[in-house]
Amino acid sequence: MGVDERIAMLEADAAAALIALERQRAGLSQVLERLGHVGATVLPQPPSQRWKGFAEAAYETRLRLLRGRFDDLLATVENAVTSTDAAIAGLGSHVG
Amino acid sequence: MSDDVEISGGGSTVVASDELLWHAELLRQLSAEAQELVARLGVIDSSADGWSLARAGGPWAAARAEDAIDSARHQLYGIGEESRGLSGALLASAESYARVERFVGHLSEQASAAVGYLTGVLLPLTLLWLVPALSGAAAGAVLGTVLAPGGPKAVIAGLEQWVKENSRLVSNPTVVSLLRSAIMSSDDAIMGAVHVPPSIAALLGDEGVGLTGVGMTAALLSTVGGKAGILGETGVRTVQTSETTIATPPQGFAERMERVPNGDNGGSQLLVERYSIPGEPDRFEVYVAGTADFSPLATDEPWDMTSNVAGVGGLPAGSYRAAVDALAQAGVTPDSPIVFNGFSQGGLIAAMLAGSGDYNTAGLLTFGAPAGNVALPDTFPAIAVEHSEDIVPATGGDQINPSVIVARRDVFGDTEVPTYEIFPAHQRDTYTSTAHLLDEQHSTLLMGAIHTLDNFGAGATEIVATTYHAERVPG
Repeated sequence: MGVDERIAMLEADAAAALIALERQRAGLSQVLERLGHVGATVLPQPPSQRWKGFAEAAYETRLRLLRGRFDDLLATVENAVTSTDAAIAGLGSHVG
Repeated sequence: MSDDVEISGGGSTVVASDELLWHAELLRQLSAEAQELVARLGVIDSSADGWSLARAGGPWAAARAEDAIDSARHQLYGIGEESRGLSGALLASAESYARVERFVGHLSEQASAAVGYLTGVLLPLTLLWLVPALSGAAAGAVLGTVLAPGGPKAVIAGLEQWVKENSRLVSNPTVVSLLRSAIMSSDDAIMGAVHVPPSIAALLGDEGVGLTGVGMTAALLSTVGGKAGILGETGVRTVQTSETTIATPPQGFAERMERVPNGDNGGSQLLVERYSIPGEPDRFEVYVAGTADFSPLATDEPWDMTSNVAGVGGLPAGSYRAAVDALAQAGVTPDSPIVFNGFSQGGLIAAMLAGSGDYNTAGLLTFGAPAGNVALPDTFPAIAVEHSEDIVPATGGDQINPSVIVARRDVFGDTEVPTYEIFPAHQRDTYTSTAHLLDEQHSTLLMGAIHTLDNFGAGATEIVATTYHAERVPG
């Protein structure tokens, strides 16, 4: 295989990878948007009143931990988006 | 005022605040969302796999993105499991709270039934022993009532004043609960007095098959009272008082409560709305007013204490017969779909109509009604709104229908109980404010039921609202 052929093949691989990364980026954006909606509408806020006959303190602690885990998840998905953006930029410069 | 609303019934064994049930529902939804997003991230991850990226000379950033996606999947999975567990724990806690409440309630019922029975058995002996003292006291009371400046009216006014001044006591949830227990055991006292064997009494009463109960006591009171000149039933006459076209059917709790007529001072006691929907038979929504006259002596007002007692006793109260007459005048047939609403005695009448089997009932909503003892089928959504401090629903005994959703609010909570009304927790305004609060609730059980009622009049091209006034007549 000649150098030109190898370059052409690498460029084709890079172009395919770029398309895949862009698809990944679009998918991650949708997930991030969905998580924003879930965080605003589904993730419970701390209770606003006393719940008769219920161990509120234990529940509030677990809910606080859950909300913390949800914040960590958002940060992780944002990190995936940032890294994907960087990968697209890096690969794009090769393909371009 | 307190905004705490407790939800029970509706076929569920859970007793919990609306907010707790809403949290359980949200956490269940969160778990489902997490599961779906784990799957979606899996698809995203496979769209740009590491090997292809490596072959294309992909930068390190691509590998970091892939790690982050893997990590996000694990985190989401954990969140899904945690929220599912937490939702289950909330419901389990509400369930065990309800179980303890039921157990304590059952013990209390049995104890009060036994005390009631014993009181009945010992009554003749006790009376014999107390006759001299009682006759003195009774004679004093009667003489006091008759000879008091202003006569019996003044005594009743004085009693009203006492209740107002002691509104904190009569509006205490514990007192209300004790009254409910006392009323539930009143049939046991009667059976004890006539020497029904204890085992048979237990079998017949509320704690057994429920052949006797609150209704039996009220029916007895109505019958005996009628012979003594009080609580005596009469004939009724119902006439239409107005007819108007209105724009929309009611939505939610507050709009329904606000449509219940105020029958005080000779006002109309019934409102019937007829919904015309093209291609369908007419359907109706009915609103029944609360008690207008609290005197045990029947005047011309059928929404009185006589109807209250007869109604709790399951007898054809004057107000019930007036409502049946109004429905017939409005064109309601046994097949017409119909929703019943009512406040106080109106709620009792609404429940009796809904449970009579004479109508094609599609829903029931009551506010502060002594209707716990009215048997209802579970074929339509039924909601009973009560205040923990309201003595009136307690006079109807315990709620016997597991399918009825009971929304109970501690209306005063830690705040001062007002003394300007006789029963501050039973006021129309207080129930209207609770109705507004209920419109802001979230639990699927409560809101699902009210949304079913809200859809009842959907698609109506014409709504005609007709009011009726009824009065007692001899016969």
